[in-house]
Amino acid sequence: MCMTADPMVQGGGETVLHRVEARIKVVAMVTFVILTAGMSATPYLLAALGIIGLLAVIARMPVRLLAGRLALVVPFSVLMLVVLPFTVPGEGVALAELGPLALVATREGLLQAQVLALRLANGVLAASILTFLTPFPVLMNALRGLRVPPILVTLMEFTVRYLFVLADEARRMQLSRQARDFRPRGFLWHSWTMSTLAQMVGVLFIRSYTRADRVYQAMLARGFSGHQPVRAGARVKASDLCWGIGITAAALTLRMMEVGGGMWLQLLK
Amino acid sequence: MAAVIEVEDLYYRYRDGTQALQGLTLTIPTGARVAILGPNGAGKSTFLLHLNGIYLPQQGKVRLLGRSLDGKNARWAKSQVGLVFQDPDDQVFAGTVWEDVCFGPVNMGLDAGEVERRAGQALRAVGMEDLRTKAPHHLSYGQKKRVAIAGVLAMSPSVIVLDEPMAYLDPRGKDNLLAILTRLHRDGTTVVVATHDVDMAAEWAEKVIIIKEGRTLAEGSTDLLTDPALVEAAELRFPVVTQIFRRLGNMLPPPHPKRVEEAAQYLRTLLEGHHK
Repeated sequence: MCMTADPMVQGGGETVLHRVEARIKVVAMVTFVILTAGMSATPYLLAALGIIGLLAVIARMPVRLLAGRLALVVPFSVLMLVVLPFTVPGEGVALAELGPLALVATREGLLQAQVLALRLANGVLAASILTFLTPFPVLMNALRGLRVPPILVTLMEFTVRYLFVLADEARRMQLSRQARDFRPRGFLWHSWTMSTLAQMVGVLFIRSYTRADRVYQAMLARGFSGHQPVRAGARVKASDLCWGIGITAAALTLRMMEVGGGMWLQLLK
Repeated sequence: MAAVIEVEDLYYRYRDGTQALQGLTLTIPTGARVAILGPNGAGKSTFLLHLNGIYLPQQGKVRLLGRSLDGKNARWAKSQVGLVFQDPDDQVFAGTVWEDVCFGPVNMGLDAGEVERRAGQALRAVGMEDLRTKAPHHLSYGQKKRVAIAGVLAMSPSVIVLDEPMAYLDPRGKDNLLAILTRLHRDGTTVVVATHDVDMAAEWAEKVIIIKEGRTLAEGSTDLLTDPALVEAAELRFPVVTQIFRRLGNMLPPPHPKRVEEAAQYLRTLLEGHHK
C-alpha cells in the first residue's frame, strides 16, 4: 500500500517465474485462460495443457499442490462429465443399463465431455499457477494496478480475510454444540438436526453482519474515506515483458492454429 | 493539568430507542492514564465512539483539545484520538500486517516516505517488526492485538483509547501490553482504557471514571475503587489487594491499599514496627 521497495509488491520468490512483475503475470495468465477456453480441438487443448505443465515445472510447483487444486473442481465438473455423454444426441458407442433404464453414450457426447474436462483443467491449473507464483496481497495490488474496479478487489480481500474468522466461529459453535451432545442424526427428514444447523447458519449470518459493522467503524476510526490507494508496482523489466509475451503468444499460436488448422491441412493436400 | 478531552452533558440515543448516554460529563486530563469503568451496557462503547467523531453528539458537547467536535472536524479528530477496538479481528482487516498498519497514515494523506517511517516505528513500538509480511489470520490473538495498537500508533494520536485491552490475553500478553501502555504514557500520550478489570485499573490508572446508565457516577483518583458505596452502586468489586485488607477488618486501620506495591509497603511498615 505504501512502500516503494516493498517486499509485498513482488513475491520475492525463488524461481524466475516468481520474479516476473505481478501485473504481467495476471495479464498473461488471464489471456491464456481466455484463449484456451475457446478452443475445442483435443490436440490443441492437450498442447495448452503441456504449456501449463512446462510453466509448473519452471515454477517448481509441487505436483501434489497441482493435483489438489484440480481435485477442488471435481465435485462441480463430475456431474456434467457423467451426464453429457448420455444426453448429447449422436452415434451410440456404449450402453449403460440401470435396471429397467438403458442409457446410450454417444461419440459426440464423449467428445464434448472430454473437451469440457480439458478446458476446465486448463483454466484451473493456470489459475493455480498464478496464485502459486503470486502471494495474495501482491495479486490484489496487481489487480488494483490493472484498474480492476476497487470495490471488486476490496471484496476479494475481505472475503479471504474474514473467511478464516468465520470458519473459526463456525468451528467454535460446532464444538460447543458437541459439548452439549448434539450430533447430526439424519438429513432433511430429521427436523431437529436441520433446525439446529439452520439456526447456526442464521447466527453466523447475523454475526458476520454485526462484525461488518464493527469492522467498518474501526476503519472509520482510522480515517477511512472510501478509497484505497494502489501501492506502486515494481518497474517492469524487459525480461518480465518477454515472459508475458511468451505465454500469451503460445496461447495465441495454438488458437490460431486451431482456427486455421482446417485451411492449412487443405493447403498441404 | 489542562484537559485534552472535555465531555459536557452528552446524550446519545440509538435508532432502536436505546438511550445509551444520558447527560455524560467528564474530563480527561492531558498526559494522564485514565481508566473508565462501569457495568455492561453503561454506555462505555457508545462514549468511546464519540471520542474521535464516529458518533457525533446528539445533545451536549465533546471538546477535543479545546475544539468542539462536529461533522467538520471529525476527520481531524481521528488523527488526534486513536481507537483500539476490543476484538482485533474487527480492526485488523488488511491482507498483511504491514498494509494494516499503513492504513491509517495513508488515510491521513501522508506521503509514502512518512507512511513507511511511521508504520515501521509503530511496529517496532509493539515488537512486531519481524512479522510485517504475515497475514493477520496466521497471528496469535495477542499478536493481532499488538498489530491493532500499531495501526493506531502509526497515526501519532495525542490520545489513545483502548476498549477492554486485557481481555483474552495470556499473562505474558498482559504484561507486554502494560509495558506498551506505560511507554506510550511516558512519551507523552494520554492513554484511556475502558475496562471491567478493577485490578488493572487500581494498578495502572492515575484517574478513574465510573459510569453507569449513560451518566458519570464518579471521577477521581483510584481511591474511588475502595469506596464501598460506589463499588456497590457501580456493580464493581474491590481490587483483590483491597479485599484482603478488608477481610482483616479492624486489625488494620484504613485507608486500605489497593495496589500490590502499596500493600507490600504497608506490610513492611507494619512488620518493622512489630519487630522493634
